[in-house]
Amino acid sequence: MSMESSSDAAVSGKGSAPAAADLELIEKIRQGDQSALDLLYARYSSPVYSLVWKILQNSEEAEDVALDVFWQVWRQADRYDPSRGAPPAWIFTLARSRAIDRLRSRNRREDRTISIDDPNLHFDPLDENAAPDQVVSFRQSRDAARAAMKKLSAVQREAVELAFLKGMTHVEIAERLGLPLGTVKTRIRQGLIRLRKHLD
Amino acid sequence: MRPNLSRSDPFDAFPDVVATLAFGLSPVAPPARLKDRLDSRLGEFLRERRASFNLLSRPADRLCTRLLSGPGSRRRTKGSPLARVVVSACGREAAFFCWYLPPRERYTLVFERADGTLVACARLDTDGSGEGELPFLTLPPGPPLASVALRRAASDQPVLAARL
Repeated sequence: MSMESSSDAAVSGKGSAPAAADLELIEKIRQGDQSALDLLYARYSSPVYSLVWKILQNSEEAEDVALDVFWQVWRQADRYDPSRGAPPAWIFTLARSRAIDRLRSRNRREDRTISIDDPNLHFDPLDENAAPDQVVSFRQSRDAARAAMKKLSAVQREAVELAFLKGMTHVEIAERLGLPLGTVKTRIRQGLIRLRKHLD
Repeated sequence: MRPNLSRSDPFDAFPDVVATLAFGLSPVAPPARLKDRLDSRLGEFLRERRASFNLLSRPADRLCTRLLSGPGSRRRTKGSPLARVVVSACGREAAFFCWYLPPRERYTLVFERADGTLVACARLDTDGSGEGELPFLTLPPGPPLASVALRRAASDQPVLAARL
């Protein structure tokens, strides 16, 4: 399966053939197949590391957290629940959760807002290391996600990014933006629904 | 698995959107040593798993355990013979425990291979209360084992049996 296929499966969340292949990998990992973990790592190590790096802004911590994410996949594959989403949804939720836990444990929230497509944070390791189809598929997925984000209003986007990359709760975002709690909840929920709708 | 985030996490109900946004990030290259570290951790785990196991220190999820019942009886009543066999995940060692057997009687633990051949593996003498144990038992090498039975040494009659 190409990176494009996995990415599409992750984005769509639909029961496509690539999603089925991801499920097969999870099942093999559950049975202790090390080569299945290698394949899953090849598919998702870059986006997982990118996600935790963006949240933590620290290479050493990002490496530790990414390692723990794949280790958790290996040890707890039997806890994966397909009813909660495709395997990438599980993996990235684990990654985000662990990174935000680490962020909170060090209690060091930086003030500047990080944008999902911040050009200052752009690296493109796939140019050197990845197969051409991986490069293409990653960029397609990235473009699809960014196109979806552009469907949000500026205020929705700001709130969604604070929640996604900083792990802020509704209350924290309301305080940060100086808005009523209900307004923040509405903005985020409507933003997420709009994102999901756009991806469907 | 539930993420370890606050219940007020807005993304809790949107795991698919989390994946979408993750793919939307500009990629940052994972260092090569990340895979090395994962391989190293996995290798250590697998080496430990293959090593001779110590029943008392092993987590239960790495072991296959079977409750043995008497031939022909599926229900165990109070005082009826009871035994448990615990086989390591790599299938090379086992531990065997039994209760409620006649006291001070000699038994043989016999494994049956998938091809039907029988392998008498160890002898067991119950103590004064009818209990017995073989805590570290190396399983016979060769074709896979399909079942295990505890037989009376004197008559070779099976007392307890289970499929593995």
